[in-house]
Amino acid sequence: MKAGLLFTIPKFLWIVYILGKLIDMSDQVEQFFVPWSFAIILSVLISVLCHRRPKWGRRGLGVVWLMGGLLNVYLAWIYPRDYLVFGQFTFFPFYRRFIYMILFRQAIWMGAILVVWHFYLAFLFFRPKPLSSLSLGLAAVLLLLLAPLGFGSGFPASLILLLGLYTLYRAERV
Amino acid sequence: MMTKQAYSYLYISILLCVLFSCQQAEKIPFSYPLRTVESKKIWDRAFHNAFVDLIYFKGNLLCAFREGDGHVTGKKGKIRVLQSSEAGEWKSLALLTKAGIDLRNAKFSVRPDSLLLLTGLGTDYREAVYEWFTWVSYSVDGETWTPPRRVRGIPSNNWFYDLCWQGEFGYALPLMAGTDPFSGKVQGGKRSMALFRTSDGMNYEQWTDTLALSPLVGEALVRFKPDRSLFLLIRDGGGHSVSGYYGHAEPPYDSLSIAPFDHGLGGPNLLLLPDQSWLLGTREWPEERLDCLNERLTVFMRLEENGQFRRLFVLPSEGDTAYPGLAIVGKQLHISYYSSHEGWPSIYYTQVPLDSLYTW
Repeated sequence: MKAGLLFTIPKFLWIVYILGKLIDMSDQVEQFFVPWSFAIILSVLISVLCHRRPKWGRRGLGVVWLMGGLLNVYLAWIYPRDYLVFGQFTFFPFYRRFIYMILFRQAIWMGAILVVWHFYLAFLFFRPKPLSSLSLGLAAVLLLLLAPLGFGSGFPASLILLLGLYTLYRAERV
Repeated sequence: MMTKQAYSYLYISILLCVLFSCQQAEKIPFSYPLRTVESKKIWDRAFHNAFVDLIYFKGNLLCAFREGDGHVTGKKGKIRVLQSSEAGEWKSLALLTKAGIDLRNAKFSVRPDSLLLLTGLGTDYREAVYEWFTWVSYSVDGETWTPPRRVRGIPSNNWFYDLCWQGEFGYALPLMAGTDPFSGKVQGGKRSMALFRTSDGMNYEQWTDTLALSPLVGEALVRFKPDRSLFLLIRDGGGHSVSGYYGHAEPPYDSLSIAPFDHGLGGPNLLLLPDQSWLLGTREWPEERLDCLNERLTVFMRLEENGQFRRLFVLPSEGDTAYPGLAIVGKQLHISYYSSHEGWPSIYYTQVPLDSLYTW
């Protein structure tokens, strides 16, 4: 238990360090403080569940994928213009260019990929079977890809969820 | 279980996506037969960064522009204010918003008591354009601003593009549009214009009779020379402007003489150079040139007070572009503007030595 804490504390310190690097984006924090805080609190709760109650943690992650899928249904097929909001918050210029020049312009089918990805993960996480490497791999890649969206993905919420996913993986392996 | 091959496909797909994005990020070189002054991008965070102004205030260059997700309608536009550091980098200083209102066309001016003002157009989009109004916001330092508030004294559905101070009064040429009695929406094709003046930036009084102009007049500039004579420019023709008006007045400016101007105006800006000549920066449509390049450009020209003009240089630009902000600091002319020539409308900045303008 003590050894686990020794690993967990540096991970959280690293997250705090990254947050510190984002001080120049403080106007965004100010603008979206409530949803941003909500995303971080939710991700911490799910990660704690993954550690303490793996079964519920897994369901929590399933709900996250489900909500993400529904969000992308709205974005891709109802109001693609909202994809543009994510371009404002990203850390990487090439992410911004991708969102503005490719994702937004090809929202229907690009969004469809994201919808299928999220719903497939939701299906895998709600299924009463141990998580396969495929499920974990797809979930980890998606969480990593979401992280550079910055405040658009409630940064560092997706990294906290990744930590939860890793805890879940270890718990299920045991 | 996922096979090694499946993992390989997954990683290769992600890598290809990233590489494709990076490849798209390459700059497209800009070339044009007329003299081109290079510029650098200073802001591209929003999908539509546009309608720029620039001012040198208390030792700092400030740049204001609109962040939105399209030229018109869409999400509500916000006004961002940037400040230039001595190292030439730009940092965000302020973000002005108004709930439910699209803010745009922010223009700086300085009141006689050294208070900095931003004025602009506020639009209420309910279904279609529901209402136009001019807003004003005040700041002592360029960082902290009062909330944008409607100006008073101008008939409803009004907007002035620019406010220019002379002595203790600020002068502006607002367009005033009708209102449809059944829908309550702006009648954008029924515009009139008159000179208004203010002593505080908030309260206005009509100073001339309504001018006999086209019903599609738009952005209008008022400028003063050291001898206090007034010079003005007015955009005409709506969105695709290929004509306008110029005019003169002498103090007390209660009578304006106006004549047609044979060039379109799109987001124009006018600056009196130290040699007492006018520098005009504006959007130019392809049919206004002989070079047959099928693109809109941000062009700068020397303008005579009889409406004659001569092109001096262009800025790298294409598509949705213009609205240059101009400021003289020392012997340099500082210019900020927006253009879409590298993807989506972004904010650019450059400097031109004033001496060059006299010899070009």
